[in-house]
Amino acid sequence: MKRFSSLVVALLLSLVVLNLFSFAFGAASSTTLRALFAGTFGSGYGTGQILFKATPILFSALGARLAMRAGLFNIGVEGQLLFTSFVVGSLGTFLGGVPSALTWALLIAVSLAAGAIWALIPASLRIFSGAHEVLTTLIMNRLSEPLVGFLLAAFYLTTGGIRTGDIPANVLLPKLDRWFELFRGSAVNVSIVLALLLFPLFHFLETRTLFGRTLALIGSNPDACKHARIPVKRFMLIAMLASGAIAGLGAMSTVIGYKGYFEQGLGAGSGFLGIAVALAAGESLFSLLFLALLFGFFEQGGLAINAHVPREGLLMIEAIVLVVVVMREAKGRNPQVGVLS
Amino acid sequence: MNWLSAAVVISTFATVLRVSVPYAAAALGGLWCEKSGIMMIGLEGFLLLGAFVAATANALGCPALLALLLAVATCAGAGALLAWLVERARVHAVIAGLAFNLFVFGFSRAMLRTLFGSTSNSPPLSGFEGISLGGSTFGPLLRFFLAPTTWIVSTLFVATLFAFRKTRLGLSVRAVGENPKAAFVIGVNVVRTRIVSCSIGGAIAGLGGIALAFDQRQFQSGMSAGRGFIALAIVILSGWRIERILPIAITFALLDTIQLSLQNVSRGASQLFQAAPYLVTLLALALMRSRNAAPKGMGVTL
Repeated sequence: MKRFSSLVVALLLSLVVLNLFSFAFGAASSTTLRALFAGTFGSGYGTGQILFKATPILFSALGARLAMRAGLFNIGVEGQLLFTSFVVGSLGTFLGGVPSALTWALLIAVSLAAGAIWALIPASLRIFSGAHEVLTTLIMNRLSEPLVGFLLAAFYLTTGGIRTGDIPANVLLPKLDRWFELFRGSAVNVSIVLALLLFPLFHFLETRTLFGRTLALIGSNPDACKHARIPVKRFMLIAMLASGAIAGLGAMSTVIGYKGYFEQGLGAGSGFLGIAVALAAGESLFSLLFLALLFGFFEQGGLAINAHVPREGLLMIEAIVLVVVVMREAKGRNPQVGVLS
Repeated sequence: MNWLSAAVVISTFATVLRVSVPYAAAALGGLWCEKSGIMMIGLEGFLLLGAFVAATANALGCPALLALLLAVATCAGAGALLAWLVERARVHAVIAGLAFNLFVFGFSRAMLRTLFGSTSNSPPLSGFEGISLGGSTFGPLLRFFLAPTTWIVSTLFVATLFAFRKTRLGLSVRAVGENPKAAFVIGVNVVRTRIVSCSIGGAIAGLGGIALAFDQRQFQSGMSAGRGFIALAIVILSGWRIERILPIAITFALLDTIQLSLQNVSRGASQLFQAAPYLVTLLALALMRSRNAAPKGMGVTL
């Protein structure tokens, strides 16, 4: 119940802040709200776009959540998503003529692997040398950007070094408007089904398997686990790798679901929003779904109201929602914190 | 050594010093926060906030000194708010810091567009009068030595060293960071000390941002460009010791200068060099040995 009220508070608060914005920027609140509604839930296209924006956020949030279960902050999902997007984008160009289903299976496997590889670096730094994953993953994010830029510049001279070549049509994921007339023209594609299928899987994993329960134990008291002879480090390593792998799946939605190639800045920011969603959602998978859709709504809504209010303002709303939801959850509880070293 | 190469050495040296100011200031600010026991992810946000407020105020016609004071005050307030969120509202420090960075980034872009009609940068600023951007040999050197921010940050290093060793506030900050419960028992107000310390830290880190904006005579969206994260790494690599911060900050500034001077060589290579400071940071963190220097009370709320 408390969780539900937090979500309602988050929603109301964002509306209030949005109204304050419109006021501050000299636009009538009613105009802004109408534009917000018309550009999002007001039309089938807008709804589809919300779902499209929410897809990589869902993957990133689920990824970040997996690490959080083991008490680790994987702030690096942004960089993991970026690296994976590049890998998927460049591999996709070579897959012309291969049966579609095969290319999708291959690319899913590849994005899982690429995300995991990128998460391996902070994971091993944490486990073998004790460097805190918050700082190392933040630095990995900053590192990924110029590194991917370098790879693009080195391998894609023909496309100006800012994007990969075009991916052939047989690799691209079908958009949902093929079956649902409602979403016509929007970029929402079948990768969201994959994201939604992960929810029951996560629920099962977290509540019904030894692995999931052990992760939860490690997350709440690593020292006790160590004394109980649970291989804490190995579990942490697996959690971090799996976290990066799941986050990497977001590339499916943006690269082969929408653009048909990878370019710099594609899907940028979804990783950070995913982390915010996972942190605000706490234990509840339902909240995670709700908040990911809410943040997808913010992202799409920002575009819709850009003419009246700068859409960057929506980032401020997202930050406020994150803090307020966490604040309500944490009330009267002593948070468990590790030392950053 | 002929005159020409001497000139190159001098101007490179000056550039390194100039580039090191934001790193040094942000790391010193981070030290204040971390010594009091609050994990500080928000340094990036402080740099950006300081740069934004100072640049905007200056571009809108405030004299440079007033713009500086305004920015410092804003960052001090933000630091206090962040500490309050962690200590009183019990938001995890990592979450509060991330949200703060996100907020400042969105805020600066939205305000840029409202005030100047562009989301990417402000109009050019006047900054402090009387400092030429001269291209002569001693131009960069003068640009470093004549900038008031250089002197303020240098003074703050000495002041911090003194404060942590000799003043009541500094000792309270250290006590609260090492063992909040013990500090509480002997009558130190833990929450208030942390709020004051973070507000000082925020103000100092903000000064780094001000130096950045005044040095480039413009505010650009996201101009802190990861310096806040490197500053946090500097604090950790220094083992939370103030006297080691400056040399480490200058080392990172040197890397940054090399990267800047190679930027014109080729696009691909420059991208690789942009990654270099972060690679070095990761490497240094991996090789670091003494981790038990961290304040013991970090993250412990009463």
